[in-house]
Amino acid sequence: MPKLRNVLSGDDQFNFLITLIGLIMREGEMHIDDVAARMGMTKQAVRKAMSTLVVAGRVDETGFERLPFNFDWDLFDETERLAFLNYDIITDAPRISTRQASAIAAGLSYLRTLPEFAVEEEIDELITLLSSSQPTSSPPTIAYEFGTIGADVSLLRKAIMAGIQVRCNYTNQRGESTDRILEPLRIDPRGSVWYLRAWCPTSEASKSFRLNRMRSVELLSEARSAAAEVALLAIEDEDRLYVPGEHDTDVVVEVDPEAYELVAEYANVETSTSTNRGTIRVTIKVGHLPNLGHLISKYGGAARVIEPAAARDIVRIYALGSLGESIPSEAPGDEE
Amino acid sequence: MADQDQASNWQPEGDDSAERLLSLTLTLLSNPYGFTKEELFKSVRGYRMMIESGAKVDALNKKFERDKTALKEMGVQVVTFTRNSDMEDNQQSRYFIPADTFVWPKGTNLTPNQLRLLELAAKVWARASFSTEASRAVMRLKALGMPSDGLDLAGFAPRILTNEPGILQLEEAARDGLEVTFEYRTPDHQVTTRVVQPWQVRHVSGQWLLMCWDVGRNDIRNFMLKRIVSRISETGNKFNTATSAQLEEATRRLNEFTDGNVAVLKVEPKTEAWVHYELEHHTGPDGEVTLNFMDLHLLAEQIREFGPTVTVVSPPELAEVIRRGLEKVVNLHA
Repeated sequence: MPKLRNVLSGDDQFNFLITLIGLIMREGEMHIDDVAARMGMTKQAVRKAMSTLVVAGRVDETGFERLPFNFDWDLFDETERLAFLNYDIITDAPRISTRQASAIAAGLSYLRTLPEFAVEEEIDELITLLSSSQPTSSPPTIAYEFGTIGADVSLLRKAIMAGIQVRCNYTNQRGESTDRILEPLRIDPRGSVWYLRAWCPTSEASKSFRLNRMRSVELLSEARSAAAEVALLAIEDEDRLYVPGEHDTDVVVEVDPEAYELVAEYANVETSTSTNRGTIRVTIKVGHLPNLGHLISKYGGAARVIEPAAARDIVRIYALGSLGESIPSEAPGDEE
Repeated sequence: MADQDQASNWQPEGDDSAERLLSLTLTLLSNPYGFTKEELFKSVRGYRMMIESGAKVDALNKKFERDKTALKEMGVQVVTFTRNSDMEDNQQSRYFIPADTFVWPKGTNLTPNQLRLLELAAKVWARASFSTEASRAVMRLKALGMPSDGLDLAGFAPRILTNEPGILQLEEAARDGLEVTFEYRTPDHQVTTRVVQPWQVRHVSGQWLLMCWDVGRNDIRNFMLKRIVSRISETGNKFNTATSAQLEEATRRLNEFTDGNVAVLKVEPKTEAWVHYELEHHTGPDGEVTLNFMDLHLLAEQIREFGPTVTVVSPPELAEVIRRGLEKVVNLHA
């Protein structure tokens, strides 16, 4: 859906209207402020919705307009409470669609992968309830199977919430294992791999660390630094793993559908679609070129670097090294 | 998005589709004997206003079809039927909405904690159309209770990502029982045209799969969404949507398949892969790890990321796939 701020689409308005009717019918009468709070809308929005409601209806054979909502204007004028007199068409909250139910159920299964929610018994009850979203219930059309992730997630989350630093052991892509201080900002679960976004005081940058390469997390008493707080603000509206930096290099890559996931995590500068079986050419911003070695080689040809030449060299050398055919003078590899 | 921080104002768009849809819904709910299209055109406010401003029947018909689709998309079931009592030559379709399909059964309630969980579940959808649907569902469910503010996702940015363009269409096909066809590229680059009856879109081991009945192969098949390389189109055939038993059977077979796929890898100590496969406290043969896999080529992708620090002990096909992929990378970057 296009993200038009402060404007509801016709479908969203309809959704709001039928919910509003159901809510008032369930509660009997309700103060407009409570309705607004419950639905997460402004008072003004509720008022306008009510004015749409009271004119909705039909015209009968004799030409009389039949307005099903006999809204209690007196009550509203005196007390700002909403109520209907003599209304019996929609008597309760509206059900949800199969797609809506499936989307929410998949979201619930996903939540269960988070340690905080792993023991929520109510998740199962809810999934059962959602499967009866329609009287002729059918199995969900979307499912999310949950996996497992590394340990220490709870501890890292504690650090994030408390705004403190951690010490941990981390093994980088070159296999170098070091103890380091990190200032955790956010946990980014991505399917089977989870990442910790953290401010690294040594390199003075915000980076993503794979949780499955992190060991021995230990909470420290030091608070997050001012620089880390700035970094936290910077990622607030950015859910991609790789946030472009000032010194990034523009790299043109060509990806087949099999490797779309590669570019999804980078901020795209430009995308052009070719008609050839979904292959697209994308310019991405890469902070540390040697990362491309394993990122591109992974896909075994479904992702290709077009330019710059230096990046192509990195990929070729990495692949050759993996084949054991030649040992590059300087092993390419990333920091993280 | 019906979310407080996203859209909390009511600013009707140019058309008044919300009001028309509401009037249509109320009318269709009001009479179990239903209405003919002509009756609806005369009585539903939005249509009546169109007639008054001189709209042609064609335009009305089109609008009505669009509205029916819109209602269906939002889970409102408009039932079409013809009355037996109507004269043979006067059989007209009648439309109505069964009241029990529209509202929850009496006594359906949600606890504050449940409602909170539902809200959070809606938030995990990222950059995908399902997020709109999930938010709309949450709005409706708010009529059933008041969310608590205990649990939250602070510190996490959980995201269900869908990079596959066809996912919505396949979910819709599974929901509505629409047979579809697409081109599928197997890992060895054979492109075949498949005709399938989608059952479920499922996220397993980091991948979106389509569980379905493959009409051509006359058997259950799973397709990886990222290997679909054409547009998805409907064949026009309909089928009965999947039963729980069918889905269980498909899941059982997938699990059986995964259990039967065993790989043995040798991992160089003190490397990224060594940590990845949690070999620090391993007691088996030196640096060897045994694992099950769902798809040989996905496993090959994972191992290629580790470069030369992982060697395949078995199966030989895995080593071969890894090697061929790397050779391809070398050639493509020569």
